[in-house]
Amino acid sequence: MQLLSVRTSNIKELIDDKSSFFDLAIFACGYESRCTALARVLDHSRFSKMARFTFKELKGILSGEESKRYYDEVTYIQDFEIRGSDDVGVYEALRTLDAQIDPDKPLRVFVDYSSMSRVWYGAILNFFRHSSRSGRVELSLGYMAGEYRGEVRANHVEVISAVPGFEGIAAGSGSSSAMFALGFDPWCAYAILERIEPDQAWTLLAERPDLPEYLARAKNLNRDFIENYANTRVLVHPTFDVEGVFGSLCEWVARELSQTSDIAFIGLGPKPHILSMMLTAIRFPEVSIVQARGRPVSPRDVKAQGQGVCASVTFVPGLIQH
Amino acid sequence: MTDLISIKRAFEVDNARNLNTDEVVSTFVPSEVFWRLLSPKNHIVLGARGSGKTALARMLSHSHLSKFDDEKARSAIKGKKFVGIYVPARISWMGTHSSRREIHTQHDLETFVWKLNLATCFAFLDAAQSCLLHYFSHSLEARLAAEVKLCRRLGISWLGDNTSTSLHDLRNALFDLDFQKKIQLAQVRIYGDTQPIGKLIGVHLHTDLFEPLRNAIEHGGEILGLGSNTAWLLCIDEIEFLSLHQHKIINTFLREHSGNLYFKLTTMPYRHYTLDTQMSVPLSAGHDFEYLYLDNHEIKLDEPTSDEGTETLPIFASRIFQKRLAASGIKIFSRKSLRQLLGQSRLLDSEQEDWSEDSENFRLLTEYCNEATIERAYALIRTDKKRFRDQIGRKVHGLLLLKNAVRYSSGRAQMSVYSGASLFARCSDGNPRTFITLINTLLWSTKMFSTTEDLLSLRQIPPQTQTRVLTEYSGTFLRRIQGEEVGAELYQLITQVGKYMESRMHSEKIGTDGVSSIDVDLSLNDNVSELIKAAVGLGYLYPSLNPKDPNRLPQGRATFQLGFVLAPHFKLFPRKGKARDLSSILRGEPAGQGTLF
Repeated sequence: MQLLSVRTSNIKELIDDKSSFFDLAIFACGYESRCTALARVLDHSRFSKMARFTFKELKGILSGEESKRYYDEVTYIQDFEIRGSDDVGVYEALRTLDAQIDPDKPLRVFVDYSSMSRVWYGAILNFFRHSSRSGRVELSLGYMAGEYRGEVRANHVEVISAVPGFEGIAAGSGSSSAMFALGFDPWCAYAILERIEPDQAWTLLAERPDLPEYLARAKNLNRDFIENYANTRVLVHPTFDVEGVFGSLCEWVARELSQTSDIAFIGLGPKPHILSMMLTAIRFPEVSIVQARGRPVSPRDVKAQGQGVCASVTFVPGLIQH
Repeated sequence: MTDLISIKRAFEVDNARNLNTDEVVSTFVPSEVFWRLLSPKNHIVLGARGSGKTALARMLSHSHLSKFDDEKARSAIKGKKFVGIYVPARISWMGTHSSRREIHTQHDLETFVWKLNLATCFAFLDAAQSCLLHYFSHSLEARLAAEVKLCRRLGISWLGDNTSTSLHDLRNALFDLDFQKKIQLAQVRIYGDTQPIGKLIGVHLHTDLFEPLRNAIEHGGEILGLGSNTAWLLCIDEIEFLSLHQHKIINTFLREHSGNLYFKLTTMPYRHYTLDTQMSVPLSAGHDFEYLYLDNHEIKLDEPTSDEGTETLPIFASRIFQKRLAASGIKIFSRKSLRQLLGQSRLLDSEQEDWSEDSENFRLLTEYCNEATIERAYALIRTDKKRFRDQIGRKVHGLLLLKNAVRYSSGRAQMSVYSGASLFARCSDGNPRTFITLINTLLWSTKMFSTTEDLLSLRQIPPQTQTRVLTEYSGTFLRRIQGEEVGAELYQLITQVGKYMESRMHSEKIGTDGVSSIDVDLSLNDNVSELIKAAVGLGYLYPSLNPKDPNRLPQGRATFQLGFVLAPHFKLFPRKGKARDLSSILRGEPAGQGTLF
């Protein structure tokens, strides 16, 4: 499949557009109460099939029980228990679901990735990217921003790996570049920088027009990293602008490829920015998406904050991007 | 404005991989370790983050060594003694920067071998290009003929076809192969065994590890006109990101006789996870390979000149500084010295201070030193002034200045004692990245160098500013540890140790040595031992080495010096001092008699 287009719209448009129907909707069921936020406001009759991916390792903690109860009451929903780091489990579930849908018709899938692990939504993108369907595939990827209160706790980086399916290409011993989408955990960025040692480090920050202090806080927390370890020209994009970030990253990659042979994206910022990174990596095979795995900090119950975005990603049959 | 950018850029890049070939070569300061690496032997280079492992590995590559302005390097290249091949650590071939515990399936290991084979093929092409440019400079025609011949042979060996007639073509073909492989691997992962895989992509690289490279060396040796005596040095950088099982696979090749192929592997201290091989016999250090340890405060450098002094850390720092300035392209800077920018260190450089009994120094001694030291001071100063200077005055002078400065400072911004060229060199622990980052931070954070004219003058940075920058950096260096594996425990451990030393230094009367080290028994293999090893790898602790075998890391009971880079944060004196048993520090026991380091 070829990645044809990326469009962004306000999540409210998706919610209000009652005439828009999907062959399949996929939700995550985890410990964040945010994971049911979109399912609660979307009209289920718009989905021919519904599936929930339940985090196998985090069942029942925080809001997990309540979320499970909510989804248990949704009729016809198919349940798949998958570990957050398991892409193969996602592929198995998608194969099961895909087999239930006519392979010759265009496919529309809604995915609420607000509470999904990046391995999950990366695998969903990968699955449809490599699909052998004869019609186009349109993924609508919905995201509800969360409310994060209190101190941000540092993640401890044990293993650096590529998100499965986004390994990049070993194109020689030339120079390398890395783009860090920064969030509120500067120590994790240092740890990854120290390990992958890119030739050039760049940074991407998210801004929220509705939360003026958001960007300032991110800048402040990452000041030393930006000033002393990265190119001081920081890319700043609204959190919800998946299309804009995708375009900007494509331009950046195209420019970098004239002088480097290896590009890594490190997503430590909001999920829509990480989604944009994945879409860019689909377009440029040289790009790898790096993730840090480590001992998880104690999970917290993230509530939906009310703002959100829907990114429509269209794949069409054809040669795989090269 | 160009000058301003050039000079600042000279220190902006603190990582050898961030520099292009010319920059790496022109800023490289060789140590004894580098010349030992340039030999037909297997080596494993151990060094903390930023210690210069990558620079060493890159400089061994033919493309870099052939540009190095040094007699020994020129002789090695001209005599066709060595061809270095540099394979950087890349997530694209490593897949996972894993921990030693990573478990691999057979499929994972086969993919690892395939990708490492591919990475060595790419790296070989870089070396071949450099050889063609260097050894066929007399005739373009001969060079093109050799390139065509080599690429056809390599095409058959690696890809099964002979259509590539240039290195550029071959690179593109390998790139395409990697892309096709990536798609195939993704499809296998997505569809499992529910769909037929089809023809295996890149079958010629699905062979023994390094076999495609050996083939290339065979062909390259002949076509590039290299003799059978040419040693091919395969430099694989940062193998700490491989797992124990992957180390075992690579170790096997260090054990075997590999013809004229020699391995130069770099990793962090305590991160060569095993000596096991895939055969029944493990590696023998000293026989199959040698360890070379970089994090030694006594760096061995090429002959120091008389005006450089004798202490190695300042010489090393000063050489890095001058090479970076010279590489900025502005000739005037090459004459500037680190001493001009940072001045003398009050803590470390004072020599002819007044020690008469009514002097300020002696008053400080009687105020801050313990009774035994005061008693000995009086005895010596009245009988043998030289012995007093050697045994007491020289040792306590900096300690007294620091104690006094801390006592009367109204905040770190007001302190000025952490300043001076030799102190910056000392607080860099001989770690080039730390030193370059510090100089870069100084240049950017002071408002002194906002114009080209300011920079050209390269005025001395005020001691207060230096102290502020160094102290801030020191604190950040400590806090950064939190993002690392076992970061929370490590942060807690180092903080507890540092606070203990700070308390000993500033809350008690002192002798001639402060406590600056810890004693630990690594043979216990407990959680603390693992933390200590991690701290050594990250440059927070430095082991005390056996002078007879300085490349062997301690494995049993050993002493570890707190990195001097942390001295400003904990208000410590950056000098080796006494050691204290770690377990008693962690138990919070009152200070006892330390063992002399």
